[in-house]
Amino acid sequence: MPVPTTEAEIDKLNLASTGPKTLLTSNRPQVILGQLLLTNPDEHSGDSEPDLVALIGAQQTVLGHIGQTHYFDSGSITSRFGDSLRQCMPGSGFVLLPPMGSGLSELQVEFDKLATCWRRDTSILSSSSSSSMHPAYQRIIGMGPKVLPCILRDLEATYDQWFWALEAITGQNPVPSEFRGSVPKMAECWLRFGRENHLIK
Amino acid sequence: MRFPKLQLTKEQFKEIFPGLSGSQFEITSDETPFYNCIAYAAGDEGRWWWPDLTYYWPIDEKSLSVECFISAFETLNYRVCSCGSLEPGYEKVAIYVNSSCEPTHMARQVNQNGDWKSKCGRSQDILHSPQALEGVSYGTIHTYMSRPVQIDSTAGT
Repeated sequence: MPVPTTEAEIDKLNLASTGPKTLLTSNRPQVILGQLLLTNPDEHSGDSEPDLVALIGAQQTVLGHIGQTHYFDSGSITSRFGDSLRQCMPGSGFVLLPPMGSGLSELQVEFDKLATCWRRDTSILSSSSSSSMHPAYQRIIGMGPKVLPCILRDLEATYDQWFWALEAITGQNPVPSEFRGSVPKMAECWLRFGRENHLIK
Repeated sequence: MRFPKLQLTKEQFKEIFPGLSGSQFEITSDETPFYNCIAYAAGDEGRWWWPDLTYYWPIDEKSLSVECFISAFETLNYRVCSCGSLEPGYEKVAIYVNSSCEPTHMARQVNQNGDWKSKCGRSQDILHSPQALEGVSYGTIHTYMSRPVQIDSTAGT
């Protein structure tokens, strides 16, 4: 199988895959390097979502669950519920997509895909203006208030630069001027806003 | 808390900034979303600096112009100077601009060897020559500024 080098190629190969899982990788820097796609929900039994496990030496570490964007520094990635094991480049990132019929919303999947694309293209930018004008970031803003829980959960997990999007969507800024620039404090203000408005728990 | 893992390898940096190939270049920190290149040039590793109403900016004027960046760094005792060469007793910063003359990046001279360092977006700090970062991503160096070495400055560490 050829190694895909663009998201379109990754999508194409994932969609064409007939196996239960395909982890596709590329060697591009800090791109979404692949997607672990569970195409056969019957293989996954049980009520819980499949875990994604990193094998670093003999140690297993559960990285997260379906729908989240996953990153790792070294080691191998495998699904606990399958026999496929693929090697990934250190520093790769990918999204674990849900099996058909799972409860994860299409909205979350779309958000994760766009967020990963945005991070891939803007990681070295210091200009908040340029970073926020990226098409994927703008598409997230264009999703409107329904995407706020996704943004806030990501902000809580990563402290990434979601402040422009939150301001654009809500028309508000709960960050007092003395906290401007202090990312942890800005994030906490927005997370409090999210809890008070029942957007996140 | 886990950062979004925007950590780049040396090879990835060289792909983004071809000028790093063949010049002295080191990665000098882990990634962090807590400060950017402007803050790093100012010696502030606790805030993200940008001239808007979202982030920190030291002066009331907030515009994406070289003049606004110069005014901001004048509050730190920097003054515009003619070049980025090493001058004993002085430390320097460089302002990079894109083709529209909008600031994109800043770097700072960090020690008495004349080395320069940058924080690259939400990624890592790197040690480099100032011209090595010129190109598609950051544009070109527009202005150098200098000030007498600050006794209590973190610059040079």
